[in-house]
Formats: sequence, C-alpha cells, structure tokens
Amino acid sequence: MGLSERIERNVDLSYFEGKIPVNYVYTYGLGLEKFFNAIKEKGEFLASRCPECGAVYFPCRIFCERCFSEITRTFKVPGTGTVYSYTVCHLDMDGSPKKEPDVVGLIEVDGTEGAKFVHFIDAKPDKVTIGRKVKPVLKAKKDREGGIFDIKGFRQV
Amino acid sequence: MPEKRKLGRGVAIVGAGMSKFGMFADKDSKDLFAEAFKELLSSVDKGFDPERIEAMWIGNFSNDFFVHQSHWGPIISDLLGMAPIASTRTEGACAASTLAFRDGVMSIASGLYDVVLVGGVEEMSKCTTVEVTEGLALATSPYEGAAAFTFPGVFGALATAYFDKYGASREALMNVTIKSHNNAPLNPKAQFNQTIAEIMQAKIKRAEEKGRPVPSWSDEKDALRDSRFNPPVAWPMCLYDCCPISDGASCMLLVAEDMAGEFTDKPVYLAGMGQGSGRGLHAAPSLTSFEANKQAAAEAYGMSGLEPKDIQFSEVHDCFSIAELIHTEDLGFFGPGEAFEAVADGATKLDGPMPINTSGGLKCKGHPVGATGVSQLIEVWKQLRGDAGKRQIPGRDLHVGGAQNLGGTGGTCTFTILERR
Repeated sequence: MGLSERIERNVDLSYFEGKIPVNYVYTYGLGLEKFFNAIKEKGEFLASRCPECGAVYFPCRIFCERCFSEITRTFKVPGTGTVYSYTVCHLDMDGSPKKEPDVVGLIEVDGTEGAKFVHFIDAKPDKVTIGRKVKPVLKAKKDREGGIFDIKGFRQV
Repeated sequence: MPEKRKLGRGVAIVGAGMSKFGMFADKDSKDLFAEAFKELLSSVDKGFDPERIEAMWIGNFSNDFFVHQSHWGPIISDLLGMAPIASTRTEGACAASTLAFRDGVMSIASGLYDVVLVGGVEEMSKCTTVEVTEGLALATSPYEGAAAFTFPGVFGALATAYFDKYGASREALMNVTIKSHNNAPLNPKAQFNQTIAEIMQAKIKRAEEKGRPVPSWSDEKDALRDSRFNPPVAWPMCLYDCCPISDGASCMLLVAEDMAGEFTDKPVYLAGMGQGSGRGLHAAPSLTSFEANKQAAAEAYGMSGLEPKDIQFSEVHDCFSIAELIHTEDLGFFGPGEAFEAVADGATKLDGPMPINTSGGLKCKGHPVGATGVSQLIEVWKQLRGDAGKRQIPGRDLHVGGAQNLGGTGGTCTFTILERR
C-alpha cells in the first residue's frame, strides 16, 4: 500500500498535487500488427522462419534477431500448445482481492521450436498442471479488435 | 571470453552511507540522499574533503514515474554542492545503482578519475499501490506487461516451474522468508524490524485486545500457511514472499587502489564484477535460471580468479523469495535444484556456512529500486570491515563477499565480488 492511500490528508505535511493527464498510444510494430490482424480477420496464428538461418519466431517478426536477415513470409501454426508454467493472480493491481483468481500461464506454442506465449488459462487454479495440452479460445469475429485480447485465453484439453 | 576481462587499475571502496529504508511521507529523494551522504562523510576513517570527488553516477529506475521528476544526476550533484562536476544517472530497472557503481569503477580503472561517488535513490511510496505496480511493470518485457504479467505474476510462474522441476513446495519459500525476517531486526536501516515470530505475537495480542478470535498458530510456518496472515498475491507468491514498496538512498566513495591508504586503513577492494542481459520470459531458455546471472557470474569469477566456493557470504536480489533460491544456484553457491534443501538445513542463516542476505534482503531491508544495488554492496563492505554490528557474521574471518542485483525479469543481472586483503 502506498503512502497516498495511508496519509490522512490533514496531517502536518506540505505538498501539492499534480494532475497532468497523459495519454499513451501503444503501437504493436510491423511484425505484431501482422500477427494480430491475422487473428482478427482469419482466426489464424502466424509464425515466421528466417529465410537465411532458419530460426523460427512466434509471433511473426520482420527481421531475424540472430542474422538480421529480412523476414517477409509467415506460416500458420495451430495456436495449440502446452502449459510451460503458470501463476494464480489473487490480487488486482491496486492490491484488492479479485472476485475470482485469474490463472496466467506461459504456453509453449506447438510448431514454433519452443516459443512461449503469455496469456490467461481458462481453468480452476487447482486443475492447472504443467505439461497439459491447451488450445486458444478466440472472441467472436465481430468482437475482435486486432489486439492481444482477441484471444480470450487458453483452455486445457 | 568473460574470464579475460580485467580492469586497467584496481579500485577500492573507502566510504559508504545509506538512508534508512522505509515509507517516508515527509522525506523526498533529496532528503534521503542527503541522509545517505552524511553517513558516508562520517564513514571515511581518516576523513576527506568532498571537493576531491571528481565525478558521480546516480542510479535511479523510475522517479520519472513515481514522483514525476527525471534527470537525477545534476539534481544530486546540486544537492551536495558539487555542481559543476560531471553527474550521470544510470538506469537498469532494479539494478540501476549497481550500474552506477560499475560506471564509477570503470572511470577509475580507465585512469580518467581517481575519486568518484556512486549511489542510487528511489522514492516510491508517494504513489498508490496500483501506480507503483504499473510503474514497476514498465521494466517487464513488452510482451509480459501487455498480457497482465506484473512482477508478482512473473515470479509466481518462476516458482511454479521451480517446484515442478525440483519437487520443492511453498515450505521452501517460507524458510527463505523466516530467515530474512530473523536477520532484519539486527539491521537498523531495515524497513521491517520484526521476526515472523514477533509479528505473530503482535497479531495475537491485537486479537486479544480487540476481543477477536485469537489465532492458534503452532509455529512460524503454520502462520505463513494461514491465508489470513499471509494472503496469496500471485500463487505461489504470497504476501510474505514479496518485498515492500520503499523509499531510500545509498552511496559509496570509490578511489584508485593505490590511494586507498589516504582515506582508511581498512579499505575493501573490488575483486571482480560482471553484468549480463536477458530476454523476456517468453523467449528465456529456462524459468529456473537467469541467463544474465550466468553471464554476470562468469565475468566476475573470471576477473577475480575466484570460484563460487571462495565466496564466504552474499547479498542476492530477493525481490521475491523464489528469486533468492534461483540466484544462489545461478551463482554456483548451490547446485541446480539444491538451494531449497540447503536453506531448509540452515545453510544460509547468519551463522550458517553460506550466509545469504545478512541485511534482511530486499524482503525486509526494503527495496527502493534505484538504491538497492549499492545498498547490497554496502552490506558486503560492512561485513568485510567487521562493521555490521549485531548482524556481523559470527566466528568467521571474512575476506570475500558477493552482491548480486537483478533488474526487470532478469533483463539485467550483475554480480560483484568485494575482498579484504
């Protein structure tokens, strides 16, 4: 808990409050934009392979971080994978208890040579196990906006 | 070839100071740094004129976010009356001030300066919890933050992976917490000054006074298993696995090795230092080790010619209890998967064979992120000089100690070895 939640505002303390609104725009960059558009339009997950050295990237990228070759082509992966690790979030960011805890996992994505994807796992906390197969659950097409939350989460199969 | 990295000339630490760590409504970053520097001035055994300081490096992670002020290099040099000498801010998330230390060392090793000040400061508690969580999450990898992984969640996932791989359980984390809380009351600078047993007694007493049901915990672990005492945050990380929100400052005086005698008859020397970088969790090769740690350790051991068995004690970056286990394995103090059993056997206690976080660690000493790295080095410096007071490691002739600092989710790791000759 921060002091501003603890301080009685009438204590003997001199301060002034700053109230400067800042609006951020978080861009995805060229590679992720392609990735999220494919999910939005076709429900497809895109990876990419470096044409020079063969390194595989998921989500798809536009250049290879090993040999700096340009990568233009993508290929589809099913989006399925296995639970690599997970945590169960009981508190919200403000420290208040969540109504239902969220399971957030690292998913090792099939067909990507071990790439991990961070997302919610749709399961009761005591039912999650490392190594279980999972598949992605997408929002209905009309509700997709081209971002990470077009994927509702992963369900254990 | 990390083992070949050497300094151009040696560096000695001849003075150090830190503010008390905690949550201070009435103090700002300048007040805290002034408190640390005042202690540094009195710590130099033979005294010294601050005019001799030629340059300074100040670690700060995100006062920009926490108190809406950046550019802390010149703010601190101005505060100390040292403008117009060069003053540079370093940023490496929670490893910010170790980077300041490293830059100071390199400036002396290169021959550019002879006497420099290094330190760090962070002022976090003026923000609400949600703001601090967001501010700290700026240091996660871009993929992690976007998918709701803030720091407790990240370290929760590391703990889950560690348990799965090595068969450990939450009991292992409790051992770390109980040990840190046993050291903290011996450190007057620590944010928390009660053992778990004392906190239990205080809660029992309060329940009795208010006529509430009195808890019947049989021992410390029994209390730590109770979700009313120790609520889950991001399972398996519970409240007592997580370091607090803190304000604080720390600083050190570095001089060229051959000048150390002008300042003190008890100098502590830099033996080796290393720094590594790592990828986000989604791309990390392992969740039970940090590749940046391995790089930092290889450099530090290579520079010093020392091995893990030569390190007699160490501070490590226990932002979360699981991190202490992983770091002590990455640095080679224990084999992979062996730290949790060593902790259970008492190896890392103050009087154990490998004391870890004699200061109370980040968990209890507090973690004002920009000040943490140098505060760890100060603990090692004090132990090596025999100045650690009630928490002085008993019955040992100390010559070599280590300090490991982590930034982000392992994006920056450093390991520094100090020695008394």
